[in-house]
Amino acid sequence: MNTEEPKPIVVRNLVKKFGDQVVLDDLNFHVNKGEILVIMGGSGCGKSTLLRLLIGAMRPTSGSIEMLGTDLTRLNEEGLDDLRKKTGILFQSGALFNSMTVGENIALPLKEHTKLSADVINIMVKMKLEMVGLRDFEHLKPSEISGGMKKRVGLARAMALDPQIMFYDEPSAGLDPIASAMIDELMMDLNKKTGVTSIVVTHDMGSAFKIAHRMILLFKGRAVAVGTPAQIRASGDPLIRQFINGLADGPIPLRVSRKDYAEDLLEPFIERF
Amino acid sequence: MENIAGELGAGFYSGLRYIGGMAWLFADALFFIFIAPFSKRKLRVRGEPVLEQMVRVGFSSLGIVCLVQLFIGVVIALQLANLLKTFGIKEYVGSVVGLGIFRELGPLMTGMVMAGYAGAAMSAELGTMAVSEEIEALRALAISPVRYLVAPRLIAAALMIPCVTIIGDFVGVLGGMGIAWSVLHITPSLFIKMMLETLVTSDVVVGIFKSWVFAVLITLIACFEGLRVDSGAEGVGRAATRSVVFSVVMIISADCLFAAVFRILLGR
Repeated sequence: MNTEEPKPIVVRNLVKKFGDQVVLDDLNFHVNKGEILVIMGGSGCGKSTLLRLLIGAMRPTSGSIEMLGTDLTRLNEEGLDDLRKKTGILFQSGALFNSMTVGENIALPLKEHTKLSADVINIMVKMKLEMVGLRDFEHLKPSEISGGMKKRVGLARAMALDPQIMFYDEPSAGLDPIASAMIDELMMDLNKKTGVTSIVVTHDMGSAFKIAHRMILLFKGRAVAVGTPAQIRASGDPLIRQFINGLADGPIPLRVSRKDYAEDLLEPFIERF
Repeated sequence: MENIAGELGAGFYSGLRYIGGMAWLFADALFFIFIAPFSKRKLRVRGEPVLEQMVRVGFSSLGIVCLVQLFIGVVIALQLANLLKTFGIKEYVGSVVGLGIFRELGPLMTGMVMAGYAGAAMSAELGTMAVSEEIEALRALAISPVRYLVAPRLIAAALMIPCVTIIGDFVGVLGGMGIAWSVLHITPSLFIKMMLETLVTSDVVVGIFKSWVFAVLITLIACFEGLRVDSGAEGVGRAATRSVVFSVVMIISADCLFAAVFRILLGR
């Protein structure tokens, strides 16, 4: 990777708190142009929160997120909209508009944000659908296609405006191994052909190691490991080893309660006496 | 005692936040309808969804509104028949039915039917969209949900509900006229003559104005409830129920307020 190029995303000292609970704790990382960065982590490590911050659906407690040259934490809704036109996101469920056909779903951003004629939009919809291999499904409703297809349509819709950055939220969640592998292939293919910078949030290790150029492991709101798949795999850190091998035994505790167990059990008695 | 005060305070606070949130939504929708199209970004509310909503709000509800209004007209005339006969002023049935329906019961009952018919559907639809990440997807595509979803519904309701009300009013009068003819033996021509003698333009205008306000109230409450759904099927059901109950309460409260205000302003 050429590090001289301006980086599309630079995250500095990012902190997000919900009340007293610290979800993201002083997070620093960057994404290089045209690379696939995979953000891994267990449930509740702050992955989803990070993604929501990156797409501007939520504001951080402190810190900055520089995206395509602007600090999105300082933008108003209008500025965020300008940025959103240059980014795409594939939601976990696909998040297709159920009242519209597959084709209408993909046409919507084109109708809203471009001055293209209906014929041109039609052609573009067909091209985007062909890209994800679903050209024959243009006139079906989302309820008539499978989960994997929904995600592929969601991908086509997210790519409709040819974004410079793509976000993927758990692309393999809820899919069978074949559909999941197809999504992986599509993500890599799109990245190679269009050079779109991709950020993938996932807990699926198999897919993570397959697609990543670089990866970040989040644990308790901190980036505990950053590196290429080979570096991560070669790491001796017990935490990383536990995570990538999917072991129940290791430094990541099974129990997530903050309170002492005995204290919790005895609480009513302590109060009474 | 402390607890009651605390709970009252919390209730009052959440009530204020609710009204504040709705006012904000209204302001946002008005911005997209009246100001944004002329700003440099030219963010227009698209015509297609407005038409679609107009059909849904106006056309499909017409039958049920007419049916309800017909019965209202029939009931007013029937209830008053004996009373008016006793006083020997049975020809006034036209006046009472006309005034009652055009000024008061027409807008009120249409509003109630619309709260159940259109309002519940809107909040359930938006609520389902919120649950299935569709609202978030709209935002991510740089399409404001207020511009794309709320504004068209507001325009459609504000245009169609007064129209439906007027059509319903005529059907209601027709019902009253039928009873007057069959029970009180008052000819339609006398009925209409008496009605026109009593009704003044302001009565009809006030009625239309009220139905327009009810339309805005119903849509705002329904959209606000729908957009704030955050948890599954239960949340959608709750939003639909709340939107109907709040709409009905708000419609009747507003109607009461209007009765007082217009009595002072117009003297009738």
